[in-house]
Amino acid sequence: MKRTLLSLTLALFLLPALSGCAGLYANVREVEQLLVIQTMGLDGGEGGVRLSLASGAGIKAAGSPTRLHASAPTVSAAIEQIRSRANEDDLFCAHVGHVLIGEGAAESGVDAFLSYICRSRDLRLSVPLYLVRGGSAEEAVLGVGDESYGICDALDAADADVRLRGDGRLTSAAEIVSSLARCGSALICAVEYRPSAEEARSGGAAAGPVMTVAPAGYGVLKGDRLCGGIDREQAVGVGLLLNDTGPCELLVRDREGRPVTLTLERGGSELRPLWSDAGALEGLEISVWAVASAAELGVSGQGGDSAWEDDLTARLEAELARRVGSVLQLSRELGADFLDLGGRVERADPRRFAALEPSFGDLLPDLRLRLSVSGRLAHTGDIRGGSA
Amino acid sequence: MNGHDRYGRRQLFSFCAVVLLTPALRLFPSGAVRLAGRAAWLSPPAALPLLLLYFLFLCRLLSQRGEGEGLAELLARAAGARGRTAVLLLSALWLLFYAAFLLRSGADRFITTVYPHSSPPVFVVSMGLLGAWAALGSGRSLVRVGRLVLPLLGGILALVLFTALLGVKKELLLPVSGRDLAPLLSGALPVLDVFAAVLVLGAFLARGVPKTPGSPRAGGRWLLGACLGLSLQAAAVLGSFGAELSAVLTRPFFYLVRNLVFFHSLERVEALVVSFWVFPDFLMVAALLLSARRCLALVRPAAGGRAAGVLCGLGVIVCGCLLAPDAQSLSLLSERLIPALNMSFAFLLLPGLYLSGRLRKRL
Amino acid sequence: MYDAFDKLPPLHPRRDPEYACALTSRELRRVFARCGDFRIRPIEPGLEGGGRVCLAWLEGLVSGEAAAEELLRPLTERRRTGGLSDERLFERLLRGGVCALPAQARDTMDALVTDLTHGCCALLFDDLRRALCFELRGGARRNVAEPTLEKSLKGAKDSFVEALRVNTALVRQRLATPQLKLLESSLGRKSSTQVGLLYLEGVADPAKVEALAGRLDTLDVDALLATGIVEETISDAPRSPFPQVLHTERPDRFAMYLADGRVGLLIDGLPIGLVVPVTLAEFMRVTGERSSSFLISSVLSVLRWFALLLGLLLPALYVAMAMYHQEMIPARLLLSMIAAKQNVPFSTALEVLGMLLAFTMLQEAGLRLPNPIGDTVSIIGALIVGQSAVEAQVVSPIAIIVVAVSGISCYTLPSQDLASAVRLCSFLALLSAAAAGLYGVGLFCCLLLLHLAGIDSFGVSYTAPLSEGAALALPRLLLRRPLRRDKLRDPFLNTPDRRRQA
Repeated sequence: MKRTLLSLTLALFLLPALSGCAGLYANVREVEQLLVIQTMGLDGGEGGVRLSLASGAGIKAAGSPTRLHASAPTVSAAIEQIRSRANEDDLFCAHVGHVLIGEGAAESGVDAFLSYICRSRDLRLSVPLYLVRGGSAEEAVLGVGDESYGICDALDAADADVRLRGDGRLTSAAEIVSSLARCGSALICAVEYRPSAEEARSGGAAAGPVMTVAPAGYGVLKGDRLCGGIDREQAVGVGLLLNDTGPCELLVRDREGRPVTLTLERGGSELRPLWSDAGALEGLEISVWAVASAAELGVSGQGGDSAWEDDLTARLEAELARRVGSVLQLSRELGADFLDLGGRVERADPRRFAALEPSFGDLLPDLRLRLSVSGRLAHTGDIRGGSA
Repeated sequence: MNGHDRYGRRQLFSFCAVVLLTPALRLFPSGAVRLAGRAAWLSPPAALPLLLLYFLFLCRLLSQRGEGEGLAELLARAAGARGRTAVLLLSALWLLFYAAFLLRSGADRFITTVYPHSSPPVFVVSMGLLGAWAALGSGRSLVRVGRLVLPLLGGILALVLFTALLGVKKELLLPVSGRDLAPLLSGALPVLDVFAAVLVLGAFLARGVPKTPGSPRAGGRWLLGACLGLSLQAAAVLGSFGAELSAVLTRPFFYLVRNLVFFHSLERVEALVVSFWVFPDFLMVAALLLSARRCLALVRPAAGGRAAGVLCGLGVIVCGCLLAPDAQSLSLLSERLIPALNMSFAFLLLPGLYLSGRLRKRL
Repeated sequence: MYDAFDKLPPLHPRRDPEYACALTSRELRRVFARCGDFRIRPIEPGLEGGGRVCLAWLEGLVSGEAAAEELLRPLTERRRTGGLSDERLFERLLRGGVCALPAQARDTMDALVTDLTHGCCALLFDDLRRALCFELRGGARRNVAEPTLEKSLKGAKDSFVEALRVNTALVRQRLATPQLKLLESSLGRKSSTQVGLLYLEGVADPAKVEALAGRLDTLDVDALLATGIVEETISDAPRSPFPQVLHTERPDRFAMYLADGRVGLLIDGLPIGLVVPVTLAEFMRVTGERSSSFLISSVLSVLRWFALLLGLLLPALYVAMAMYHQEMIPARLLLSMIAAKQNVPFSTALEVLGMLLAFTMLQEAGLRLPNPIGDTVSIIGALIVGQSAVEAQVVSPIAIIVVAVSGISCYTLPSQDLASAVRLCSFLALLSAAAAGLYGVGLFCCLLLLHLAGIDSFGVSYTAPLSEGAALALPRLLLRRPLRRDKLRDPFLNTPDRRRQA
């Protein structure tokens, strides 16, 4: 009898919620009430934060993406402002797949934005963050695309580009926060707001080119502020130093001055700290290795003999040394250990690393860096004579 | 002892494995990370020797029981005629208070992960009613449910951990050196707290297990497996977020789940994973209520009846609703008071009573 | 007169004996007064002193040709019976005078009436107040035919019929051993239905046999004409919607269960065999599972279990995700769902609930109607009504898909009783999901599992083997082992002889 009473009480307790009363479990919403936001843009502004939001295409009959923006002291306040003005019932931010941060805002500091992302119930910590080089996030969110596609589609394409190629990698909020906490510095994937190759479909040539975003290397955060940048060329060096390289093209000239396109297939680096007798860290010996193949041999399409290949290998090594060296130099100049060299030193010799005075970050600008690059041409793709 | 209320040792271990998930994800790895930093993923193995010793102690204690007896009966006997009422009432109070806390903590978990802006009493009352209803039945049904849901929970955990471990960064986990030993040992304290309540609850439920000679090896293997699981869970969290971020996140495991993508298409499944935690919550609350009823029944038979069971359930619900009105007080309870109570009961009271009972030849 | 609001009428204890009168033809006529099929014929077999005997039978139950040939002819041959006394003739007939038929001596009217109503022909000796009953069952009986519900490609093609003795013979043909025991009893005050309890001695747990027999003894009904009352009597949890007694129309499957150590029931007048104890897992096994490759059987078994979960939880999961946890839905699908639901006036929960009810009603309509109309109604309902509902934007297409997949999943379940229970529970799961999202579904699952875990079938857990302490219980539940390795009977059946294969 008592079990029956209890079970009836349980059922009666749950049933009122069926009536749609949202007071019990507060996140009841019908799908048609949702405006699915897929891209968020964050900039600094006079009032505090300038927030821009974009949805994916296809939710309305016309299929055009929705673009919204607001200014408020905080991100949450800006979202509330947009929500109260939007025609749709409810902003749904759980599917935000990209967060853009304007260059100006990044120079002022990204801590508030990272803090919002970490606390947000909607956003994932693995959401990719992008720095908008040379512009603001709002420009990109509101300006990219036309009636049929928007920033979400452009960033999806940029994502795929970055993932497939070796001259960049996506950086998530979790990675950036973790790297800032560990090394005091972090890389943030950068995109550039620029005209695309196609013209506006509706207005034709008169309407001007359609704007888009394209991968543009990295931004360097130190503390929580933007302090430098790495372009797409140098980004190959970052990949080699982080042992995270994908296929990418390198343009070199052979001994006859002909352009040769090499495809970097794989590569990595090893680090060996150089300690003094007193136990102080004097420098770092970095050995980079790479395997490439010749993708295109220029206008004449002529291959060469083994001497030609050796020369090409040397030029490959020189090119990689230039790129890697420029990244290392930037790290030293900025005093920003965005490559986590300190972590690699620690793993190599934890005891001596723990005893370092001052810390690695302070030592970095004065460390002697000894860089060596070892390259190998896997194949030249020469169709004559059946060579590999 | 009801002749029908019988189950095997393996079923009890399965039940304990399921209910372990409730305190495990409340306290671990965030509690251990704050103490042990990057090395927190090694806290479970660090705690294992002490856990094995404690398990051996419990086996020794339970070997003194008669057929159909569990920890409640042993406590009553060890305390003697004068102290039995106090000890049993204290035990019942601890069990009921812990149940109320679990209701409140579980509500908070659901609210912070997937039901924002909801009110805790809704979850407290619904889970409390369900647990009270189940506690009016037999322990055998609860143990069977534990055995039924173990493969499901194990499969989900295995899938999550496997997916997460594929993407960990070793630089966030290593290196671990001798300097980390002291923090590592302090990081073992949350692990001990996780297991304390579960092992003691298992001892209360042991009254349904036939008294046959058994080797402690099975329990040792169970502890080893559980510690390994906790270790992998901590490694997945730390390897994804790093120690610094993991220490500030509330329930970092569910943040981890939120960030995983399964089979390139399923993402944001934290709501589904969190909803599975209804099972360990329900089983633990029901088992605590059942054990409290048993303690009260030993004080006075009428006090262990169904009416008393209903009253205990309602009391736990009311207490759960009133407990910790805000996040700060809940955090204080979760990180200070409850671990202190659990470990005092498990590591001080029980050994003390056992020694006293042996000395006075009551056991 | 009593109506529903009055107290229940008092129990009427069984009269013992039911017919307290002398065993004579006159009394017999009085007992069967106004029974148009009752026949009684006096015969003078030339007894010493000119005594008479009476032949009585119920027309339609007895084969008239057999009665004439086997009984009347020897009785009327004076060289066999002439000059004998009543007692002498009685003894001679009892001990083989009518050689083709088994004979039973009856001294009470109760026993005589039982025999007559079960198709026997009786020879009354008024002076002796005794009767001889001969089994001469005739009447219209269905022949053994192919099973209609449990079809099998490789298995036997016979099925149970309404006659108990034919059914026991079908089982006896498959288990040709005297260890196959048959305990018969008669249940039903008015129907006197013969019930046979079958088990293999030395294989079935004697405690279970006794328990089943004991529960049958408690059954006191007027007429036993359907399995429901028997199932409820012998079930441990009769209020549960989940079936706890397995029924089969196949003698080979019935014999297989007896060989496994279970106990079976056959009821006269019903072409079904009942088997206990059973677990939930048994209802998920199909006929012919042991005739296919173990790999194929295992894959299909996993598929059926998956279908069970789909049928039970898919509508609830869809409602929970669509109303509470939209983040779980992939972005593209979510956008497509938003577009599809723009003009639908009902909430997701009401949509799905409405479609589930419609689906269930269509299914019931299809069952009740004659075949051609039933098929047409199903097609009309499924295609036209569903399509029209979508086009009229009364429901969204995805709701139709969810409900259809859930319904089809239930159809894959081998047991219709289990499928009905699953359908009922799917409604409850749906209500829980509408009330509280996935948390509500979790609570419902806890309740359901607790309910299932609390059911025992003759001491065997309903959720065995998974809920018991056996190692590798889950693989054994989902997969079928190669038969050469399946050497032992299930441990939870507690059989005296666990080994079934060398």
